[in-house]
Amino acid sequence: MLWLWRLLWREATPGKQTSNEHALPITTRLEANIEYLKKTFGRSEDLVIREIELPGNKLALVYLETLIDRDVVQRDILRSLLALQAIPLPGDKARFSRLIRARLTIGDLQEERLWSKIITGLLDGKAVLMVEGYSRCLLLSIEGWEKRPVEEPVNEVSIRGPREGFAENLATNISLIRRRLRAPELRFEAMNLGRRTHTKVVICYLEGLVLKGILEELRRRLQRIDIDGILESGYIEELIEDAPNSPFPQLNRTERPDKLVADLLEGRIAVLTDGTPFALILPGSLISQLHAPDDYYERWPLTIGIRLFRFLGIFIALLLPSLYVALTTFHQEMIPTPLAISIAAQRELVPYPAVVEALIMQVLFEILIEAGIRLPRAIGTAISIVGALVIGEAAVRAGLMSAAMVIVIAATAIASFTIPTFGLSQAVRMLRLPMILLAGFLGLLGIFAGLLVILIHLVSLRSFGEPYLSPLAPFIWEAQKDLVVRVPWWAMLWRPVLTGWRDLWRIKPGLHPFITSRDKNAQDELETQLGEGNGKSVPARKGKKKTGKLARKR
Amino acid sequence: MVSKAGSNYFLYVTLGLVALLTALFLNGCWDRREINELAFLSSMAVDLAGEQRLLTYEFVRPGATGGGERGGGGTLPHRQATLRSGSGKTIIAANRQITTTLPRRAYLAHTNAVLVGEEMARRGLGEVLDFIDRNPELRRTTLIMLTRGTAREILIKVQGDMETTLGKEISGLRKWVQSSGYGFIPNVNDVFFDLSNEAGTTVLPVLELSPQPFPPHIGTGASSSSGGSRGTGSTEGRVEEPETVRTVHLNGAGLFYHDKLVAWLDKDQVRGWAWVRNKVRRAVLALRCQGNNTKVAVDITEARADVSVDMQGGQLQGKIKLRVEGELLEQQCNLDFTREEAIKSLESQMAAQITAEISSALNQAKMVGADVFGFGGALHRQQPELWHQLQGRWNEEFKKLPVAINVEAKLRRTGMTGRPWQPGAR
Repeated sequence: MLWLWRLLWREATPGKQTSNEHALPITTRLEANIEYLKKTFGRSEDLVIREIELPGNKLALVYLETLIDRDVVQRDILRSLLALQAIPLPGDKARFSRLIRARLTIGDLQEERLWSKIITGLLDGKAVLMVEGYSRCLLLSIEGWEKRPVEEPVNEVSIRGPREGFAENLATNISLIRRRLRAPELRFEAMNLGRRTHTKVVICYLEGLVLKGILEELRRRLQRIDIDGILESGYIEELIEDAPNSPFPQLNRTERPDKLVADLLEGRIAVLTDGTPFALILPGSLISQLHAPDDYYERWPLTIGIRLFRFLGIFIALLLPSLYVALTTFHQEMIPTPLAISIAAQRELVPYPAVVEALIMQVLFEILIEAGIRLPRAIGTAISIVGALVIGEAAVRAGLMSAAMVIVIAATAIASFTIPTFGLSQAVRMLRLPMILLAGFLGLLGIFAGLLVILIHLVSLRSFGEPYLSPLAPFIWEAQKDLVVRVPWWAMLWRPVLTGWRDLWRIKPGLHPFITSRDKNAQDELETQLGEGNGKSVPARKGKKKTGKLARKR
Repeated sequence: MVSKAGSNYFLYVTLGLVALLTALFLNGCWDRREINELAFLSSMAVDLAGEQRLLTYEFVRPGATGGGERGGGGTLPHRQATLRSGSGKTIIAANRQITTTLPRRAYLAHTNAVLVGEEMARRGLGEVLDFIDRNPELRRTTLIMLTRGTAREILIKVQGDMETTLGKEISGLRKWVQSSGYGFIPNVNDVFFDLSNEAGTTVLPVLELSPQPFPPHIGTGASSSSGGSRGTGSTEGRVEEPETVRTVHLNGAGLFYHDKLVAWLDKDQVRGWAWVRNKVRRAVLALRCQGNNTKVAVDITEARADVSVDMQGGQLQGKIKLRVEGELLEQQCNLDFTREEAIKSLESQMAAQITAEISSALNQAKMVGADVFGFGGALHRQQPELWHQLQGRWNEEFKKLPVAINVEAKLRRTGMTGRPWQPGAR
C-alpha cells in the first residue's frame, strides 16, 4: 500500500508544473518569435497573426481574436500602421518603435520583452505588435468581449437602495466601486491566481483606514495559493479562511457594490475575483451577516423592529422544529393544555414518532428547496404546486403528517429566508437536522447541548483576527449601536472599533437635526413667503405673517 | 500514511462519534413519550370507601377534540371525556390500578382540578395534598374542591354543555365566579399556604350537580340540517319536553380545621367569609326600598377588609373593618336615590346586610373553632409574645373571641342615570 502511495506521490508532486517556462525574452528575429507563439498556442483557432510589410520594416500583429475588439484592430491599429507607408521611416528599430507608439491611436500600450508577460497579455485580450530586428514588442490594450450588463443583484434584494449589482467582468465591478467611492485613497491591488486560469484577483481597500496587519495577512494568504484554477470567489474563500471545517461562512460575500463600499468605509478589505459577481469581504462576522443594506437606508426606529424579527428568525430557523419535537415527545407539560390536546388529536393517525416526522418533513423540504434552485424556470410553478399540495395538504389528509408539523416546518422555512446572506442561511439549515435529532433523543437537554456546542464553536471562530461574534463576544459597548438597534446616523459616531480604529470618527458629532433659533427665524420667513405665494389660504397666511412680524421685531 | 498525528486525530474523532451515536440509541425508553400516546387527565376525584381510596380519573377522549377536521359546525360541544376508576389502600395504588385499564400512559401534568369527596375530607386532606405535591407531574396550580357525598358521582353524572371536560369547566368557573362574591376556587398551593398559616384552617368550595332545564329546541338535528322539510311533518317543529342537563355549580363551602372537614358554610356564609378575606371582587346586594316591599340592587365594586385583634381590659377583642363601595344598578321602586338621605339609608342597609353575612359565617366558624378569618395571623403580627402563649389553644380562644364588625359602606354611583324613570316625567 505504502509503495503505491509513494509512487503516486512522486508522480504528482504539487508545484511540478512551474510557470517559469516562459521566462525568456523574445528574440530579434520575427520568424522565430512567431514560431514560438505558434508553438505555444498550438492549433488555436482564434490566434491571429497578421504580418505587415512597411518600407524597410516587417511587423507582425498577433492577437486572440475572441478577446479583442475587431473594430479597434482595423480602425486604430491597421489604419495607423498603413498610414506610415507614406512617410519615411527611421532605420533604427528603437526609434521606429517610438514612432509607432506615437502614431498608434491606442490608449494603453506598453513595451515588453519577456515571453511570460507577452503571453499573459495575449490571454488578457491584448494585441502584440512585434517588429523585425527589435528585441521588445508592444502590447496594445484592445480588449473587447461579450459582457453581461450590470443588473439588479439576484440574491441580495433590497427594497430601498441602489439596484446595481456586480457583474462577472472585473473592470465593470471596479468601476461600480470607484463610482461610489471617489477617494484617491481607494486601492485596487491586482494579482493573478490560478496556474492555468490566471484569474485576476483584486484586493480592494481604503488606504489610511485599513489595518496594515490584516492587509499583510491577506496578501500572505493569497500569495500562498497555488491552484490550477479559480472559477469563483468560493475557491479563494476556502483557501484563505481561518476555520476551514466550520459550517459558518467566515468571510462576508456580497454582490452589492453599495454594501461593499460600506464595508470598505468600516476599514474592511474586499477581494474581487474576475469572472464572478461575488466579492469577499473580510474580516467577516456573524452579526454583520445578519445586517441588510436596507437597515441603513430606511428610517432607523423601524430598523430596530425589522432587525429584531430577523434575529428572531435565525433562532426560529435553527430551533423551531427541534423545540416542537422536544416539547411533544418529552415536555408535554410545557405546552398549554388546549394546544397539547389539539396536537395529540392531530397526531392520532400519524404512524411515526415526532422526530421521524420532523426529519422526513425537513429532508423533503430541503430537497424541495434544492430542486427549486436547480430546476429550469419553466417548470418551477409545477414543482411549487406539487410541493405545496403534496407535502402541505395531501400528506396531512392522508394521515402521514400532522398539520402542526407542516406549520412548524413551513414557519421554519420562511424564517430561514429572513437571513440576508445565503451562506449563513445554508449553515443554519444544515445545523437544523442534527438539532432535530438531538431534540428527538434528549429533549430540551439535547437542544441545549447542541446550542452550547454551536455557541462554543462560534466564540472560538476568528476571521482574520476579528472574533466571529465580535460586538457580542468580546462585548464592545460602542458597537451595540449597530447590532440589533441601529442608531440614526448622527449618533453612530464611530466606525466599528475592531476594524476602523485608525480613523475612528465616522461622522462629525452634533449633527442631530434640530432647529436653532436662527434657523427658526429663517424657517418662519420661508413659511411666510410660501403663504403669500399661496394666496388662497388666507387664515393660514395671517397666522404666518404674525409670526413673521414677531420674528422681525425680535 | 498522512502522519501519525493526523491518523490519531481521525481515530479520536471517529471513536468519539461512534460513542456519541451509540449513546443516543442507548437511552432506550427512559423519558420519551409521544404526545399521542398520552391520556391527558383533565380532572380527578378522590374518595374514601371504607379503607379503600377510590380514585376516578377523567381523561380527555383522544382525538375527540381539536384536530381541525372534526368539531366544526354549530353542534354543542358534548362532554368528550372518558372515565377510569381504581381503588387501593393508597392513592398511588389506586392510580396504578387505573394504569392497568388504560392503553395509554396516564399523563397528569395537565390536570385542571381535583375533587375531594366528603368522606375523604373528613378523614383528612393531608394524603391528597401529599399525593399531589409529591407527584412530579401534578402541579400546585391544580384547583381543588370539595363535594357533598362522593366526588366520583359528580364526575360520572355531570354532562356539561359548554366545555368538553369537567376540568375545563372548573377552570373556567374559577375565572368568573369571584365576580359573584359567592365563590372562589383555590388551587393546591393556596390550600397548602392556608393550612400552614397560624390558625391552620382553610375553606374549600363545594361543587354540586345542578340539573338545569335545557332550553327546548325545535325538531331534531337531522331535520334542522335538511331545512326544507320543516313544518310538513306533524311531529317536526313541535316543542319537545324540556330536558335537563346536569351541570355543576358552586354551592357553599367546607370549613377545615387543620386538614379535616369540620363544618359546612352555606352560600351566604361563604360570601360572609369572603368579605373578610378580601375574596369578593364584585357582589350584588338586594336592598329594600323604603316603605314598600320592592327591591334595589347594589353592585359592590370595591371591598377592603382589615382584621385585627386588640387587647382591651385584659381580654382579646377581634375587629373586622370593612370598607365597601357600591353602585346602584337596579331599582324597582320610584324613590329618588339622588337625594342624600335616600343614599344614606341604602348605605346603612348595605352595611347591615354585609354585617349579617359576616357574623353568620363567623358564628359557624366559632362553633367549630376554626379560625378561617385570619385572627390568629393578625394577633401573631400584632402581639407575637401573646400569640406564642395562645398558639396551642387558639381554637378554644377563637371560640370565645368577641368580634366587632364595622362595615363602612358607600354608594358612589347610580349607574348611567340618576332619578328612576317614571311615566310622564317630563
